[in-house]
Amino acid sequence: MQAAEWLNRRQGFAEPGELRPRRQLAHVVYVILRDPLALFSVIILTLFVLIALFGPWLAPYPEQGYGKTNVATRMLPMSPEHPFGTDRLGRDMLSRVIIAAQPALVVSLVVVLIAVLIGAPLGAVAGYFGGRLDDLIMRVTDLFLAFPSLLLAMAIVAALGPGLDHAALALAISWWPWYTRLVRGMALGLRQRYFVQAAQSIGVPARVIIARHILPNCLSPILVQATVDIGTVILASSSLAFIGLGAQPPAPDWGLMVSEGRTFILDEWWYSTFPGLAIFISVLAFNLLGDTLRDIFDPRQYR
Amino acid sequence: MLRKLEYVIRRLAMSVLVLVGLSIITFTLARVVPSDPAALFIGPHPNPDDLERTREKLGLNRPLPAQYASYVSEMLQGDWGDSIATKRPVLQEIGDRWAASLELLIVAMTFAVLVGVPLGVFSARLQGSPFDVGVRVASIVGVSLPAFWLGLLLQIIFFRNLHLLPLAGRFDTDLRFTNPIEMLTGFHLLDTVVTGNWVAFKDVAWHIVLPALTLAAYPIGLIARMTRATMLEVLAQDYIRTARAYGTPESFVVYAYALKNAIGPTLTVIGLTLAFALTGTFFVEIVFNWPGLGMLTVHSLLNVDYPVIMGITLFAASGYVLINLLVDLAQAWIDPRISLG
Amino acid sequence: MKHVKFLFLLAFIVWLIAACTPAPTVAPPTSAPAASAPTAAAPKPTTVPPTAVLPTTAPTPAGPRILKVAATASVTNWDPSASFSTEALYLANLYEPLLWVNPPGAKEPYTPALAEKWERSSDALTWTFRLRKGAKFHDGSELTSAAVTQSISRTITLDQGAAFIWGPVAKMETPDPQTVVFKLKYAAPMELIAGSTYGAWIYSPKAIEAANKDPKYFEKGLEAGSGPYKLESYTPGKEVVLAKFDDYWGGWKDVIHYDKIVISITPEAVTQQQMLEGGQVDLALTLPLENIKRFKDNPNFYVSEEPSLINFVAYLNTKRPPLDNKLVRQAIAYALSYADIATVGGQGYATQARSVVPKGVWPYSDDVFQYKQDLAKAKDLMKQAGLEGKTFKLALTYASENANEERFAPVIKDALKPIGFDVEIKPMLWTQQWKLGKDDPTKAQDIFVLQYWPTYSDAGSDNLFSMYHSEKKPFFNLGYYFNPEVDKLIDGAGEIMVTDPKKSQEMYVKAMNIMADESPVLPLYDAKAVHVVPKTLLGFKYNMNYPFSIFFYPLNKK
Repeated sequence: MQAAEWLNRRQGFAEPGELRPRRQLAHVVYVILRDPLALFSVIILTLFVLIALFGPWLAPYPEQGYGKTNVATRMLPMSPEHPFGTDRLGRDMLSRVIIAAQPALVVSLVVVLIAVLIGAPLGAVAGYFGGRLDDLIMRVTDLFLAFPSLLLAMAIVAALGPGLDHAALALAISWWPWYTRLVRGMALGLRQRYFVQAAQSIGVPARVIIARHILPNCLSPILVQATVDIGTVILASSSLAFIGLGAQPPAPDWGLMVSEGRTFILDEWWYSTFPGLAIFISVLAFNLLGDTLRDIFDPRQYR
Repeated sequence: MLRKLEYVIRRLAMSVLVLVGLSIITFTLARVVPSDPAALFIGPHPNPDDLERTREKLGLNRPLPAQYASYVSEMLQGDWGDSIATKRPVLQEIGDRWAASLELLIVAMTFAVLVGVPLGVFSARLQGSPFDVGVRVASIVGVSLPAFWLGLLLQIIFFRNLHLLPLAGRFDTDLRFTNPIEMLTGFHLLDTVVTGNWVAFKDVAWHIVLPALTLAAYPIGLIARMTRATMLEVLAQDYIRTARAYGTPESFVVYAYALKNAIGPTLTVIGLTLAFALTGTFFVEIVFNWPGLGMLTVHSLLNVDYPVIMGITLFAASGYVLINLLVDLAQAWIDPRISLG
Repeated sequence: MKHVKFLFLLAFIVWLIAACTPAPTVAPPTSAPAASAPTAAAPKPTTVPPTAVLPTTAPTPAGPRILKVAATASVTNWDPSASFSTEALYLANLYEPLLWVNPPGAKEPYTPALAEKWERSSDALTWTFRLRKGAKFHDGSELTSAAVTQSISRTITLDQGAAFIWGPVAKMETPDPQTVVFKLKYAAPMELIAGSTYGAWIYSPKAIEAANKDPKYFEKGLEAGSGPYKLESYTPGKEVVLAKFDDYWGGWKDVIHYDKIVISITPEAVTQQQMLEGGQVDLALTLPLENIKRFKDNPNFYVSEEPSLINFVAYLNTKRPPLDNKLVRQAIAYALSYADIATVGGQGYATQARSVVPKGVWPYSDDVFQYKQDLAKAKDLMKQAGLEGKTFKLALTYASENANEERFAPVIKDALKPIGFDVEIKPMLWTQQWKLGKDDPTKAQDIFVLQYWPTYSDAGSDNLFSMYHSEKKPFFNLGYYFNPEVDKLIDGAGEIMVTDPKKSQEMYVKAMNIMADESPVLPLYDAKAVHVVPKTLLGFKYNMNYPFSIFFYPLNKK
């Protein structure tokens, strides 16, 4: 697919191995510290991870965050006790938003991890061996990429039945091809390089070459892509929840909370505003960081 | 010219292959994944006769390849099954609604191009300036905003607080009685202009503003970003440097030489963004009660109206393939170098 | 000038789409010539060519009086004999039964419709209905006794939807064109059956003939009822337009009725609210319960609260430990916070249910035992069961489509925590929830939350029989508890319901009290029917016996 190829190339990466790993890390830290936007994103993401890890200790009403109802305090507006107001079952919205951070992060990490675990080896195999195998793998990959990811995920969830587990599975299924394509492109270049050729000439088996030389060298672009994708998957899974295909009530989920709050936008506008803000800020932070990392690793992207 | 023709044929053949693959995926989702496809196809109140008839019709007792063959032949003959909720053919359900979705998509994309391309161009021109940084941030914000949430925010601001724009819907119900829209194309903006129904046009235009803005956020971000990158790439090329060295005015270099050469790639980006925005319409439609395919999808999901869900999936994915194809062909037409690719 | 080409591309796409004009609104080609006439004859603005599909009546004072309504009701089946779902909203205005059942508290229990009067033999086995003279169907044919028997016969033969209500009928006779005689196999409340909201519509013999030839006849949106309104057009999933039937036997003179009812099918309650507040509709039938309060303070509206047939119950799985223990079930019954469940579920438009029979519906009685939240007692019962201090996991299912159940399910979870239950809430699509419930009870859910309403307003033969009577395979007895004595009481009470209602009710009450003690089903709350009505709209009356219908004929504007 010519056009998609082009877009990928545009988002793509230069030949690997141009920066030595240690210098690479130092360089990354240097660039991030210098770029206020990147710094902002790193701070937000650190907060996000901390909230995800220590949510129960940070939330003012952790029990309510997990779903304990309190009929007496339903639909309260914002106040010092309830900075984000309370929901229709009297639960503190701030606590709900905080507690929902962990599932959001975990789900997207798992989805991206599965996508990488399926996609990267396939791409490496395709790129390294080339020929028929490459053709076969890439045709299947193209096929999956011929669907808009979210649409494919929706169709899969519709077939499996709604639920967070099915939504995560569906998202992973629709996400892996991006990594196959990315890694294959890298592997194509890497197999021409002297260290790979040297390994071949002394009879190192292909799977070892792929595991030791090809995949490790694809790590930075995978990481960059994964950074952006974690954000995108947070967005996608909350979108699925919004239309009733993802997380199911009473689970704490940002998309679900926005959906619930829709009923109330004319009076209790804060109901869907804050959970939506949480989605937006976390996705934004991942995108900003991904953008910075991409600039660092792709010299062709002129700054 | 011959090479170009060859490219077009190759590209068409590829699209056909992709469509075949697509049908395999939807077939798998429709007939293989569910435990009892017939029960899904017939809905919540099955009686045993109907169930058996549906099994017969779907050919569920036959081997998978045979089932797939009949599935494809039915699809090609325009038999996409019947909706469980309305008992109408799925294609008819889709036919009634796709114009609404596409009208929204086109308006949003037009807006996104009109805003996104200039942003990208100026951003490249003023590389490194605060404006450039601003565009960078704005475009990342654009792609990070959940469409369903942005829609709600705009409703809160423009309807609830400012009372400026209508809350939802495609037009005011009263129009039906005062200035009914004649259905020529299903595109209300076009229909009202053609028939000179200005009252209705104004109402329809007023209603499309918020959903189109919501839908445009993502494409604007992507287009601005990609246009900027394309422009920078072009600006770095030798002939531009040469032109500069000859003392050609900078604005002339940028707008005449560089922009001209950046159009091809930008077009590609626009086409791809259009395809990406396709899924976005689903969520925007739900928030704004827009009577398109997205609303149909959600209602079908609620009713477990399986034939419709699968029909929409196939339809939207085919649209996506078609857009990709058109973009590539247009690209080949504009940029001769591509045909070598 | 390459961007010009892009514009051309866009224009090309637009043309492609323009070439495929969407299907127009379906206008049902009724055989009566009058049906299509009003649209064609209506004055049209000059700018609109005659091909216009939408009705084009200008809102001049002399023009038709139009009522704009938003409703969730989609049409799953236009066939009056098979219909068993939300389309009751439309059918109740297009068709009529022999008689209407009045809501509790009305002066007369029934309102004559197509039957003017009726009588029963003392053993209630023979019922004679005298038909109304001069009533006409929309296709112009006259109401005759043959039309009545043919309609009912078709319903029975089709055996879909609510056909089972005619189960007691042994045969029907038509001694003359104005008389229908029902001979019953056993005594049954024929008034309630003939006035049922499903399966009791009478329609034209011509339509019956056509439908017998063409099984898809009604699916096309054709109808031939005798009701005050005709089906003018139906756009699936979008809109139903009803137009007044000039020859309606009730006439159009008493009040200034509406000529046309335009119903926008709007599945989401929020959207209906938006349409009502934006002035796009005059009446929205389903508003979010949570937002009714907005309209209470609005001087332009009043809130109509009526009892309804609908109640919510929770089945406890008696085939799985620990709920197979009666003491544990009673402990749960004492632990539930009924007030909170009603508050959250019904948003203040609900009261705690006394039994699985909603208040106001036969055979409801205040003599049935009602549980009140009493945590000490609940804990004590757990102790008696020897389960004190232990924790059990329970799976609770509810229909994910049901917003009320979604709201109160977490309240049940919280209420059961103090007595040692960790409830896992599993929302499922109704079909799947029910499928799980009907399968192997030992592998099914522990708690099944259900919104229930009887097909016609006899909760004895419906609610009590469905939920309490033994079944070969689980259907609606999803607590899976059987008791021979209860079976006998319910069977016996049903048999004498018409001939000896007092004794019948006593037997039902006895059965209900046994079941209150056994507690395989916990009654949660009776829901009220809540409607927001503009103060300018007169004649709005909800009838609980037709829970999914609103009658447009009595409506008029101040």
